[in-house]
Amino acid sequence: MRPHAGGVLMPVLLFVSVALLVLSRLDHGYIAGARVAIADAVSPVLRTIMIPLEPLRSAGAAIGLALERADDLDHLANENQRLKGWEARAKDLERQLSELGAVAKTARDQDMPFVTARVMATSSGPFVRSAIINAGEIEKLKSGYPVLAGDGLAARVAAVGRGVSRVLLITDVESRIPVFVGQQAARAILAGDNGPAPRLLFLAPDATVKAGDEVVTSGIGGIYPRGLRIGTVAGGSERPTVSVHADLDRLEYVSILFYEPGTGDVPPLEQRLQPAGAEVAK
Amino acid sequence: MTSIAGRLMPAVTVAILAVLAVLPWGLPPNARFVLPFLPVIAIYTWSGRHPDRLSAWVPFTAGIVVDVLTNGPIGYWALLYLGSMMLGVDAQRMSGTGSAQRWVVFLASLAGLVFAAWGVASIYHLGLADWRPFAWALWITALCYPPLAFVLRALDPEPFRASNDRLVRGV
Repeated sequence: MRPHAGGVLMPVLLFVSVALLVLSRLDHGYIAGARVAIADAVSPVLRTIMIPLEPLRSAGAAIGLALERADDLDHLANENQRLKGWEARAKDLERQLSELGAVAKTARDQDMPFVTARVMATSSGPFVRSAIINAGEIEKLKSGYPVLAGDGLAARVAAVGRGVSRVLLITDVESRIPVFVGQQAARAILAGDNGPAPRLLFLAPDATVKAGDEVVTSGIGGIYPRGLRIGTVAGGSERPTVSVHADLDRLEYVSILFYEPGTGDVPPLEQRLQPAGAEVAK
Repeated sequence: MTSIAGRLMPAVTVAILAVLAVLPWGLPPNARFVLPFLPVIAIYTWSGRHPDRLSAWVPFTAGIVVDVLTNGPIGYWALLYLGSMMLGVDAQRMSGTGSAQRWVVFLASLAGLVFAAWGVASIYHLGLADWRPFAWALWITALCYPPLAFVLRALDPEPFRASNDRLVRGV
């Protein structure tokens, strides 16, 4: 007799899978809720499994990083020489800024509270660029909070569960961030396309953008605070892209800023409710 | 009579590979796309060797978990894992006993599955999906099959018995 795969259960589950796919495509509310609920339920298993696998995972990441960076050594040595020159210049500018600030009585940027969370799972393939982190409602996270990794903006919180959250990376095709580009602070929109380097859209025709220009959040729209570093301009001036500072392929720990979207400028620290467990970024 | 280990081994190995597929390994997203294909090898192998011990619920649940944790469309990997189960059962009838024959049949099944995966992704996006991560996943999964299938066979407490075994008179 021919063996059968799953019997009558197989067509039923195939139908359910297709139905879920359609609901997913329609972005049904039940699907979003189910995602967070399932992620919450599975997170203890993931946390447990990550402990014994940590040495293996770290070794794999280190080998991958070493292979990738071996080619960059010469480039880094040259860049280090150049940056040493900039260091002296930066110190001089910092001193001047301090003196000018004292004369003008301007307020310094306020410190912002944050929590640090671990990345538990990452997306793959052609669909989305996102990650699951092990912090949620318990840590007082909310949708929309900016997420930093290492040296720059990496994502924003998209959905919050009890102990886990889903963050949407800035390279995701649905990510749109108002930014300033270069010393002229030219306005643009940083748009993800699921590739490694998001694009700069809606640059003013008279804006001069060149490779290496810094890209920071503009704060326009109130989704992100102003001045978060994102990356530097890469690619040609006709189709500029941004090389992001955060290493999005190797996210391990991220910091989530307690910044309420739509509040405009960040209020002074002492006027904000300090969430339990939050640290203060210095 | 099948032992408890024999009954649980297929589900356990599929579950382990599904969880490993979503952990952050530090790979670029397109390279990472091969990881959810590793449970395909386990589902294909077990459904060929012991179709009665792998309930359709196992690939379905594993697929849903992978879908949720990779934040992909829910139902995508569940559909592909169920497809690999059907291919595994069918391929078992065609495969010979040699490793090379099994690998060739798996490669043909996998090519069909990856093409279906690309097709579903394209329909989902209402546009042609980038074929490169799928091509990458095809070749890496094909290369992973021999060692992973070897390990799975070694983990099988009750060796595979061909479905056309002849009945023999007892003594």
